[in-house]
Amino acid sequence: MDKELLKQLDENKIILLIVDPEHYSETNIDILSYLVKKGLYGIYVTVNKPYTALVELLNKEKIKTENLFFIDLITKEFNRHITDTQGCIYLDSPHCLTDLAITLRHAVETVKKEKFIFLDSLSTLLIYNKIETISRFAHFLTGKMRMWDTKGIIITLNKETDETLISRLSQFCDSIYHIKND
Amino acid sequence: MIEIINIIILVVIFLGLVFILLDFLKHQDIVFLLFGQFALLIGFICYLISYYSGNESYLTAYNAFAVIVAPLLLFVTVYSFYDRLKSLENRTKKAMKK
Repeated sequence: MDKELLKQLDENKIILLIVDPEHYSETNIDILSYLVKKGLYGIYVTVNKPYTALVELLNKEKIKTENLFFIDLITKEFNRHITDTQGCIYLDSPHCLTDLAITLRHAVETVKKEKFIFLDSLSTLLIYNKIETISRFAHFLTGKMRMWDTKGIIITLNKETDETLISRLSQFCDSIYHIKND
Repeated sequence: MIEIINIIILVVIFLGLVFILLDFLKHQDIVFLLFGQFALLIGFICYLISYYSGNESYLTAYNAFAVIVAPLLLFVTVYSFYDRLKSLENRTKKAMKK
């Protein structure tokens, strides 16, 4: 992984990662692997991939999922009857941002050790919600992350994220990191 | 004038119902339930204001709706909102137990 990114991850509390689609999976895996190996507890909010597919991918990459808690906002869009499993809670849909905030609060309060929140991804949330709603949610979430004293990694895809949103987010995050094609 | 007030009350209560139905049918954000509660509450308060301002003779289906259905729905939605909040808390704690 990029040394500059590692430095940013160590030094900053809340990072917005703007990733080119070609590097999206690789970046996700690298960051997760780095933070999990550091011994941090992770709360992973997935809007892109269903929990089962994600765990399969993480197992393939030999990333331990024992120290990860997943909040899945996408599976119930396709399968209404799925029930929560150990390590994962399924929320109704990516529209349910208040439900997400409530769940995050309970998850953060339950874990006593050092932790991080990984939001994957803001660009997918934008498919389901208005830009204003996402902007407000991001502001709320970054504020809460500081209050909870957790590290925050917010991923968004380049080209799919509105410039206005990125400039607004730059005010809430400690650092913005672009992962582009060379 | 009284008729206009009654129609406004009805519209507000109807809006409350729409929010609640949206919540139940489309699995919307929990906040929809809250909007529904507010609309029902405002509708009911408007009705009470209207009633004590000399609207007591206007006994129609509107009034029956505002007096019986709105508070009942309000109670149901307050309960389901609380229930959903509690359930999210319990589900999170249960899913995190390893």
